[in-house]
Amino acid sequence: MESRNKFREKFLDYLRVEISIEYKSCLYFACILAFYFVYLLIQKTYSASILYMFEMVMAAYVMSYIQVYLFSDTDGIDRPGMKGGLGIAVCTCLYGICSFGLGWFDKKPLATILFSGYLLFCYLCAYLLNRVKRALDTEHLNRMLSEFKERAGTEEEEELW
Amino acid sequence: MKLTMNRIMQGEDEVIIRYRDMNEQIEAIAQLVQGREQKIQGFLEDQILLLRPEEVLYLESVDGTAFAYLKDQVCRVRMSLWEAVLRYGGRGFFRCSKSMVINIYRIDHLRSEPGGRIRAYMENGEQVMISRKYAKSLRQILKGGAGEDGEQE
Repeated sequence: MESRNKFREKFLDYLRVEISIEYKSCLYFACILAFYFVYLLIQKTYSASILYMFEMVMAAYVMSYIQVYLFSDTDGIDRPGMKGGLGIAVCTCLYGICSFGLGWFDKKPLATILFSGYLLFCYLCAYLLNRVKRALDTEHLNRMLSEFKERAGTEEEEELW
Repeated sequence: MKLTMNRIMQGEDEVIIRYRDMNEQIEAIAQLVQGREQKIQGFLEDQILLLRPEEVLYLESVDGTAFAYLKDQVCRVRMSLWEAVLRYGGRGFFRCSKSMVINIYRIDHLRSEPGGRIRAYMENGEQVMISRKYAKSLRQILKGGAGEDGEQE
């Protein structure tokens, strides 16, 4: 029974990590796509390559796996630290190499540099948004805690009187 | 305080308290009558302490032995964590991990942690990490509902 519970817990942990990778991949794919569309629109091109989009989504998945399993998931930590920072730097560089190598932005160095900078900004935004989300949750939790204590105090008084 | 006792032959046992002002003594008597003044037996070296549940910040099980952490002392208790939650769940005792039970009323403040976990800062400065599994239950209790079945036990 205990081994079954342990297995269940391990499986749920694995599932949780996989879901976070899925979420992360979708988020960064959407960011890359936004940049790609803006790049095309600036050049007055109104059609996008399906092949490039497929490459982008695959790259987003690979980067998410690299970041979560080799480094640490910066979206969900308080301070990125050395490992998290290195993960962001490595993934940003890899995205830059992919975009240049696969010709997403016509192998233009300026577009590749701007794309890398943009992704760095996206990583920063995701990290900050998660921190803000946790700060708001902390506030909510403490409000609930005070209300719980007050409620208990009132109930006790009512019982006594 | 004057004590008057009348023996009755029929009906339910009843205690009537007549008081001018509510004070600690009256409050303690009321709690005793309501059966809420159950004490926890704690062992500190060769001493036996009778602890009020409110005094306990948290309980921890180490190698099958449960310890009660008070504001400035730690004593052994002859009670399993499961039993503590069962008896004092209504008084704020909450199972926060496999080896710990915390008293919600003695939490100074909470902090949301990555991965859905919650860090509880106890009144004595100790920090207790509440795992994702138990955090969900804590949120429910704080909201005013009972914890999920099985998780609080």
